[in-house]
Amino acid sequence: MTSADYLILGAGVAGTTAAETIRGRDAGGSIMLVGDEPHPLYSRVLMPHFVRGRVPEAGLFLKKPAWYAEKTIEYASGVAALKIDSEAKRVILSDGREVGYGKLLIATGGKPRRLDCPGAAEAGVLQLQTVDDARVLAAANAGPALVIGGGFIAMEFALSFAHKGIATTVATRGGGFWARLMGDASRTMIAEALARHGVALRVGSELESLAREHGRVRARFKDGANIDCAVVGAGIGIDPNVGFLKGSGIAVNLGVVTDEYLAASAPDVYAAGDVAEFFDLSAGGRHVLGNWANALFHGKTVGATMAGEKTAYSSLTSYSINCFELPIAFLGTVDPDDERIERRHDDAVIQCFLRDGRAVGATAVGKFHEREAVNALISKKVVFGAGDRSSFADAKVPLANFVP
Amino acid sequence: MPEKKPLQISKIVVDRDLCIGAASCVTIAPGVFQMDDENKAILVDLHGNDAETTLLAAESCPTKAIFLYDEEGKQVYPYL
Repeated sequence: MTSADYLILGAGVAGTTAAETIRGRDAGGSIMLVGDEPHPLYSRVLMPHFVRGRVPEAGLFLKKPAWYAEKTIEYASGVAALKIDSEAKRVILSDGREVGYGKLLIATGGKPRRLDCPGAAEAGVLQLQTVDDARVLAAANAGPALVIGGGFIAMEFALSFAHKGIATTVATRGGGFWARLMGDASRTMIAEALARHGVALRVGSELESLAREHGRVRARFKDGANIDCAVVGAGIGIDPNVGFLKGSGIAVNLGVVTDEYLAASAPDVYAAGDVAEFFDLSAGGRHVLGNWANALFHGKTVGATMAGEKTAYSSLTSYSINCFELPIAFLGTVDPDDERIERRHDDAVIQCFLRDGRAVGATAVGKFHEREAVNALISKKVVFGAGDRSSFADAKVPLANFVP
Repeated sequence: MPEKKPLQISKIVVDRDLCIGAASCVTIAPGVFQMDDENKAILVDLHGNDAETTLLAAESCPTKAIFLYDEEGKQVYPYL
């Protein structure tokens, strides 16, 4: 049986950053990095730029193949973890090896949800998770296109098809893009931007079945509508990759449950990135946070902890996408269960999310007015008092007034 | 073996088309980078952090939108 002082499952940005951080602090410890994709680290965030011809495929990669050996990191690529025994501190890999660990990091990310309606498996529905998916989308040049979903991936599909000049319809079950997070004003701005660029948006629209007929796909919806298309792309969310943890002795809820040090329930086991359901000091509770910056900083933080310097993690991350000329930004913790307040400008809608009256997150559709003040509301955990909500709603009141 | 030259950064460019406002650069090198009201990173002070920190910030960018050049005008990052 092999063994590693540090065994890292998952070679995405969280796992690779953790490996890099550990190596920077521990020159001699053995590090094994296991990833199920046969590639060096690449940026999923750059994939839409590659699809739209802005960046060559080689530009997606963030590490050269030689980097791993240079850092004396054993990289087992194209290998998945099958089973963990956290009592014996052993992991079984898909290449047949059994590896013992001193410390274990679970950074296996998320698995895209698949459409499960009748005919979905045969319809060749595109997803957009890996570089291989990006190659398929880059080559999909026949229309019309149908996109199912209402989040980031669905938006990237719509933008990619529109960029190719393909007639595109987006169908989402909710009331619009990011329906559980966006109020009417935000959703309307997004829908209008799509309409200006000829992307049709069907809301409250649930898929009933897909059928492949003569090289085309017929989509039937529960409201009776039928859409014929050449290609279907789906962005309907991801689930943390935790199936292989059954019987491991490691506590799993939505993701791998951790405290604020990203430490899981079993000794010497940690979790980071999209797979982690971590206690976030910033949000005041546990959640799964699936963006690049969070995965990166998880990697740095947990790497430090695993190498001996116990470090707590508090998130304040941001992510944005351009819906054509309309920027859409997400900042901090945005949870549909939290209170939402809004302020409107001529060219933007800013929403702030409050948890127990405290600012924890924000969205901005359009120009991100007073971004620094919004950021400060969250980082300084500003509590909104009695009159503050109506002041927030008044765009003439500077947000700087709220910041101590 | 030749001694490794200390890293010097003489020019920084942020590609606004690539920037997605992840702001990891700001978190790592807040002396050099800040966010503007379009949620894009901007350069505030070329020497606001030391060169190694600035390189870490550039490496953290998910879209490789930060371009670093040395005193000879050679691109330091992204690696060519």
